[in-house]
Amino acid sequence: MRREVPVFLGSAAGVVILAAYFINYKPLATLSAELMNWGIIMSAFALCLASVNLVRKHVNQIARKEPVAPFSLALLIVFFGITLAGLFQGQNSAGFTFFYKGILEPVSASFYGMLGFYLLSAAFRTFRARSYEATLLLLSALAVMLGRATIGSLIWEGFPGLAEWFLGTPNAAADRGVLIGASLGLLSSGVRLMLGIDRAYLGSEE
Amino acid sequence: MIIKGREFSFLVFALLVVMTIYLMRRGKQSWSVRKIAGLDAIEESIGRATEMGRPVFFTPGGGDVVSGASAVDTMAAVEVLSYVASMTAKYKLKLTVGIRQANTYAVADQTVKEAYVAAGQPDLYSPDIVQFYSPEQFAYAASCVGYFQRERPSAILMLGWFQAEAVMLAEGAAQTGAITVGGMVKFNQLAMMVACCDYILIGEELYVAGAYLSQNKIKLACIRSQDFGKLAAIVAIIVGTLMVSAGNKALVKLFS
Repeated sequence: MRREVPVFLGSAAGVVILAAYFINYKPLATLSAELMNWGIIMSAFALCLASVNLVRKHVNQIARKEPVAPFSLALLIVFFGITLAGLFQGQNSAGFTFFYKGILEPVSASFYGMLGFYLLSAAFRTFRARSYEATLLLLSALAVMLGRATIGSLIWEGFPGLAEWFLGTPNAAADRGVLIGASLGLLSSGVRLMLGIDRAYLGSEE
Repeated sequence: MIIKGREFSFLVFALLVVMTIYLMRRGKQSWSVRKIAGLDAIEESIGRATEMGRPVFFTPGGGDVVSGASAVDTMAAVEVLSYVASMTAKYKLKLTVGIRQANTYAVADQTVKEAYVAAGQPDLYSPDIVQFYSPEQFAYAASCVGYFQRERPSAILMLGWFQAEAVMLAEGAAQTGAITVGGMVKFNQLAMMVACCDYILIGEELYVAGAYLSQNKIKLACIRSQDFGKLAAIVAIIVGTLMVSAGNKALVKLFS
C-alpha cells in the first residue's frame, strides 16, 4: 500500500491531464485545470520545507563557528529581511526594493558577467588539437568566433557566411537529430512515470 | 472526440503506449543497451571517491518535477540519484545533493532517504545530505561552485536540466580536479558540458540511465519501444524527403 497508493495517485493525475490535452470534454478539462492548481499549492508547501532546510543548515554553520559562518549570517539577515519586508510592507515598499534592487539584482548581474570568463577558461582548456576530432572542433569554433566578431569580417569577408553555414547546416542537423531522439525518450519516460515503472522516489525495488 | 489537429499526435502516443506494454509483457526476454561511458563512469567515480575518502556531489539541475519539459529530465536525474545514494550508503561516503527547486528538494530528499534505508544504512542518512540552495539561477550556481572550492569533492555529477549556469558548474567542477560526469537534454548548453566534463550523457542517454544502471528488464523493454519509434522517425524522414523532392507535401501536412 505504501508504494501502490502514491503510484496510483501520480498515474491517475497524469492520465487525467494527458487525456484533457487530447479529448474535447469540458469536465475533463476542468478537472485537469484543478489538478494543476493543486500542484501550485503543493509547490508553496514544498517551498516552506525547502526554506526550513536552508535556514537550519546556515544556523548550524553559525552555531558550529565554521569558516563560512559570516556568510551564513549575511544570508540569514537578507533572507529574513526580504521576507519580513515583503510580508508586512509589501513588494513595492522601500525595504523590499532595497533588498531586491540593491542586493539581489546587482549580485545576479555580476555573476552573469562572470560567465564570459568561465567560457574563456573552458575554451582555453578544451580547444586543443590533441586528436582529429579535437582539431575539427577547434577549427569550427575558430570559424564561428571569427564570423561572429567584427574583426572576423575585417580579416576575411567570408567568415560571417562560414559561421552561418556551420550553425545552420551541420549544427542544426545534429541539433535536430538529438531533438528527435530526446523527444522519443521524453515520451517514453513520461509513459514509464505514468505507468509507475520509474519510481526511484519510493525506494529500491529490491 | 479528439481535439482537432491533435489526432496524429494522439495516434503516435497511443502506439508508443501499446508497444511499451507489449514489450513489457515479453519481459522474460532480456534486452541490452549499448555501453554508455558516462553511466559506467558513475560507478568508477564513486570508487575513486571511496579510495580518496572525499565526498561525492550530485545535482539534478534547475528543473522542477511538477511542470514543464524539465520535469521528465529532473525525474530521470532522480533515478540516477537513487543509484548514487545507494552506492554512497554502501561505501559509507559523504554525499551532498545541491537543489535549486523546492519541489525537487522534496523528491530528492525522499529518494535519498529511501535509498539509504534500502541499502541497510538508515543511520547514515541525514537531512543535511540534500541541500536547498536557491531558486535564483546564479545563487544556485554560486552555491555549487562554492561547495566545489571548499569541500573538493572527488566526484561531481551534474545530470538533469540546466540553463546558462551549466558553464559555471562544469568549469567550476573541472577546476577542482574532480571526475565530472555531466548529462542534459537541452541542446544549447550541452556543448559547454561536453567541453568541460570528463564524461557526458547526451540527450536521451539521460532518460536511459535508470534502466541502464538497474538493468531492470521492464525498463529495458520500454527503451526498446523508443528504438522502434526512432526507426519509424528515420523511415518517415527518408520517405518525407523523397516525397517533398517529388513535389508532394502530404507527409509534411500530416506531421504539422
